[in-house]
This record gives sequence, structure tokens and C-alpha cells, in this order.
Amino acid sequence: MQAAQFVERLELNNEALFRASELQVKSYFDSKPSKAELIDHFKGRMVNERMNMVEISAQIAAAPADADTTELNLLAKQAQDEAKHFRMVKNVIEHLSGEPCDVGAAVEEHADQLATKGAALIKKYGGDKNPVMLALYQLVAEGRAARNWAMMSECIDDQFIASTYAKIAKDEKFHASIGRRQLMQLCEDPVAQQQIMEVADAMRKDLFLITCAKSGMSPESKAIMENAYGSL
Amino acid sequence: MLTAHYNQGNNMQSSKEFVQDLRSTFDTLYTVADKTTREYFATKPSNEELLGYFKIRLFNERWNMVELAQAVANQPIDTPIEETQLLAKQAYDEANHFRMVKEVIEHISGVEANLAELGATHGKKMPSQGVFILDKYNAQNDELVLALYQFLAEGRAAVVWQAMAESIEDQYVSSRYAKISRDERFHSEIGRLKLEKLCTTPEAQQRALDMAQNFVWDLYENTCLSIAQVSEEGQVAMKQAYGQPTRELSVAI
Repeated sequence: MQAAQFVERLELNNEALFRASELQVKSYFDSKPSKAELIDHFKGRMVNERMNMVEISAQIAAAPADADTTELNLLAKQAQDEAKHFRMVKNVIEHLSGEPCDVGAAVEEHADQLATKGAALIKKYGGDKNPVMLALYQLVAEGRAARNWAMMSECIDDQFIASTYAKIAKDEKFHASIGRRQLMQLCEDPVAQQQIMEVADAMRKDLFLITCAKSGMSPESKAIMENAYGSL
Repeated sequence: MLTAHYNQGNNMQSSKEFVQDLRSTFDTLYTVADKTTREYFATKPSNEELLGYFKIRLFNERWNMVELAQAVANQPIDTPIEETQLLAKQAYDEANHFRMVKEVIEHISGVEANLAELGATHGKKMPSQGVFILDKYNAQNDELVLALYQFLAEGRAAVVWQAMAESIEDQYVSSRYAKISRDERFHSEIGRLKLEKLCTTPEAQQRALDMAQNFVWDLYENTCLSIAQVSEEGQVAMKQAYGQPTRELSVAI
């Protein structure tokens, strides 16, 4: 299959994950979580943004000498965005709590949950060593993040938070497009297509379970996922 | 020389005053680099010479990108977010510069640059690259040294890129170098902010002075190796400003 066709199919197949995740986010915010719950939830998001920043920066630092300059440029832009999101989510936490956020303490609080952050999947699927897996992660996880942040922005009444999250959503969409661009180049190779087919559904399921970790799993979203990717 | 200049008073300067004074001591180094750059480009170097020069610059930008990205990846969790964000911005700028210098090389040579081949000949850190200093002084594990490098070396880079932008007639090349120069000036400001946070004790100020005394000669040597041998007039100016080099140099002084 040609790379463009393959990537288009991948994106179509992401749709069930994206829709199910949106429903989870909506259901969580419709439950009117307390301020304390929200702060804890956003601390998790902040730690994840920091992890993304660290992982992407490490990829840039370790890139081979012949790595494409445009690709490096885009990754560096993404790392910069993740650093910005890290600060923006911290600002949201401080806006909600009315006091300075201790980032070190937040990272420690979430230390035992690091495996449940989206960014942990970069290593789980070998994205730190294999550019095909990193690009897949960007397309799937950042694409899902874009939809989740956009849904949060719609669900939250507070204008400061809603506008911050709408901005983050826009950046995440751009990051997914970096993954798409990279996959278009890498997936001319049938071996790369095969590697992706072997793990794509598992990655989608992992991402969905991460979304559900806080809110529980709604029957509707579960059905969407299982219809698309098999039993969870 | 720098140490003597600052030890004359008994009162410790505020970190802001200290950093401001420190900056003024770089003037001679910057002037010499600016003049040498303009003189070199006034000789209308051949395309071959230019390519040799820009290949050094290309990998210097790449190394800056790598080192900055590594610094972001290794940030301690208690680092203020604003600092992390500035370093990430700098890493992005360096990636941009890397791409831009590659495009300049392709513009001059008329063929696509083969990074793997160029990396084999120019990919190692060399004394002709400012980034060589980072390893030499273990800046990766020493925030004062990293901040001083940003302040001093990136400030000098801004001067050199600007001199190139004004000396090179080709608009494609000069417009890119003007953009790079602006970014380097911003990176120097990042170093300034960090130094102002770090140089709050007499010990830290003295250490910054001692390191600056070394950096000045490293960067002088860098100018001679990467651009052209500094003129006799420039050599005299350097010695008047900074005294004798802190070590034996591989270039004339």
C-alpha cells in the first residue's frame, strides 16, 4: 500500500479512539468534579506535559547525524510547545487553587502513576529508539490529546481555563501533523507498515485506558472501542 | 585581568550590577570578532572557502541544539518553569539555525547537502566551534558555566552573525544571518537572566570572573580558527583588555 493511503487509513482508524476519549472527558466534566479533584486531575496533565517535553528533547539530543533538519526543527518546536503547555497547565492549577503550585511535589505525587501517563507510551512502544514508533505515537496520542483538550475547553465554563486549553488543543493538532508528515516518509517501507499494524490497536487501547483511569469507563465509550479494536 | 578589575572594592556588587559590569568587559572581544569577520568577508572569499567556513558553523548550530535539548531533558524538577521554557525556546532556535545554515550551504554549492558525509568530517566538536567550550568546562553539569557560555558566547555569536549579515551581498544568505543574529542576542539575554540569579555571592562572582577570563581566550582562539587570524592591532587590543592568555594558544597573539 502507498504511504499516503496507509496513513489515511491509520487516521480513519483512530477515529473510534478519539470519539470514545471525548465521551470520557465529557462524562468526567459533566459529573461536576470538586475543585480538589480538578486540581489533582490537572496536576496529572501538567506532569504529562513535562514528560512529553523531556522525552521529545531527549529524542532531539540523540538524533543521528544525518537526521532530516526539517524533522529536527519540527521536533524542537514540539518540545518548546510542551514546555509552554507545562507552564500553562501550572498557571491553570494556580488559577484554581489561588496559590503557587509546587511542581516538584506534584511530580512526586504522580510519580507512582507515571506509567499511566500518555507520554510513558513513547518508551513502552520503543519510540525512544525507533522513529516509526515515535511518529505513530505522535499521530495517535497527540491527535487524541488535541481532541481531549478541545473537549475540556468546551466543557469548562471558566474562560481562563477554557481559552488556555483551546490553545493547547491547537498545538497538539500540529504535533499530530508532525507525526503524519514523518509517517508519510517512513511508511513507503512495507516493513514499517507491518510494524505499525502490529501495535496500533494496542497503543489505542492503552491510550483509552489512560483516559479512563480517573473517570471510570462509560459503557458507550467501551462499546465504541471494542467494536473498533476488539476486547479491552 | 578581569579578577583584578573587580577585586578593587570591598563591597560586593548586587548580581545585576555585577552582570552589567561583566558584560562591559566583553566589548573588546566582541569588537575584535566583529572587525575580523568584516575584514574576512571584505576579501571576497571563494565559494569553496565559504563552504568550509559554513560547514563549521552548521555543526556548531547542531551541537548547540543537541546540548540545549539535553539540558531540557535533564532539568531538575525544581527548575523554575520559565527557565525551562526559555531553554526549550533556545533549543528550537538552534534547530532552526541548523536548518537555515544547511540551506545556505545548499544555496552556495547548488547541491543538496549530505549531512552524513558532512558529519564525518565536521561533526566532532572542534576548537573552531564555540560549543567546544561546553565540553571543555563540563557546562552540562554546571549551571553557572552554561549561563556564562550563553551570555558571553551567544553574545559574541550575535555580533559575528550580524557582521556577516552586513558583509555578505547575497540577500538569501544575509537575511538568514540577520535573523540568526537576533536569536543569538536573545539567547545571550537568557544567560544574563540566569547569571543574575546565580551571581549573588562573592564566591559565585569570583568564579564567573575566573571562567570569563578563560572563555575570552577560548573565544579569541575560536575567532582565529573559524574566521581568520586576528590582526596585530586586534591582538594588542586583546592583551590590553585581558592581559596575557590564561594558557598557551594554538594561534598568534
